[in-house]
Amino acid sequence: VISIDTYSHVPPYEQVRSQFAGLIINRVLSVGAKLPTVRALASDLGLAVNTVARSYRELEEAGLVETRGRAGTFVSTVGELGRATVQKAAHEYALTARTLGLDPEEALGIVRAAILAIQPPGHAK
Amino acid sequence: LIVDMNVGRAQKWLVRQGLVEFEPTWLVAGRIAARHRAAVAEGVIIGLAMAVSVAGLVAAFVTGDLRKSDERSWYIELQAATCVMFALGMLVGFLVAARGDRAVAQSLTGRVAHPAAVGLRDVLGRRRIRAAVVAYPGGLVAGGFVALVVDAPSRGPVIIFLAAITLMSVIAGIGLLGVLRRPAVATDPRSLYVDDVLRSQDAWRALGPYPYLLGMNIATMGTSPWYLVLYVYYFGTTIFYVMGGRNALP
Repeated sequence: VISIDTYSHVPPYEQVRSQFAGLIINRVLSVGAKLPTVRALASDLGLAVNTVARSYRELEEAGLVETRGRAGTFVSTVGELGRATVQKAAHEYALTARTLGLDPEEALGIVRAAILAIQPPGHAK
Repeated sequence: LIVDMNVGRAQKWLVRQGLVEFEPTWLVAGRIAARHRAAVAEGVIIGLAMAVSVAGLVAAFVTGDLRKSDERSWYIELQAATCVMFALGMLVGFLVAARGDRAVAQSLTGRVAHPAAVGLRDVLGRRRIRAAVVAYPGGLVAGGFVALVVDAPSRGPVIIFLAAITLMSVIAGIGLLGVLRRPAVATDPRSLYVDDVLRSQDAWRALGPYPYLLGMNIATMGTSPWYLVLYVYYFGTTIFYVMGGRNALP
């Protein structure tokens, strides 16, 4: 389910983008799944068409979805590859942490701090 | 009092759908109330159509026109008109429900939506799509075939049949398109599920069993043995409607 929190400080386009990105990365939306049309989603969520269009554009730039002309927007295979890349990096990190004798909790804390330190792409612009 | 009635109606509807763990929220109550108003409006038009149909039958019986093939064309036209009134009743019901939905949607602050596109198969299911194909394009094929093979004097009823089923197809198409394209009226996953159920029911209602009534009425009016094709169409449509209407969700 895609939802919009009207009281959130996060802009609506970023809420839509991040939720879709999460669903794609977590494989809730499988490769080849068709996303709703920009107009339909905007209508469902009570948003402006441009807001949803921006979210879709950013998802496409990130390689998570692809637009196939008039057929619509689909989840691309790149998202799947991205997940595999992150899993590989996590595995390497876990090995490094173990080699250096880091406590698992400390290793997780470092990752958490690194994630929190990165501003979402929507805020950077 | 009206609010209590709407909540009670919503509660009953949820129980009928097997959604006993769902609360009859004001959102669900508002949408069910809109459908109740739609059913009343539709019922008035269909009741009127049925009264006209019965009055026509009585008049044709009293005048003896029903037995004379040359003088019963007015009766055939009247029956076709009543079938079209059924379809118009369906359209009015759809519009009243859509208006109610819009009013409810305007009062929502937060909204939710499905992340994946919802297509015809998700809303209707294969069984109901087959029923619609048998009823509408099937009716046009059956009627077109009968119109081609019967001789000119006995072509009247099938021409009316073809005109009426074309109009019904257009009305059903408009209704179905409206149901598929309407925005989701939901604030959380539960109300989104209710929206799915309502969308599925509305789509099935948009297809209405009116071609079935039309087939039944017109098939009895024909004088050529080729009108048996319309009887086959009538029985086929009946079977598919019964099979398609069994489940609340596809």
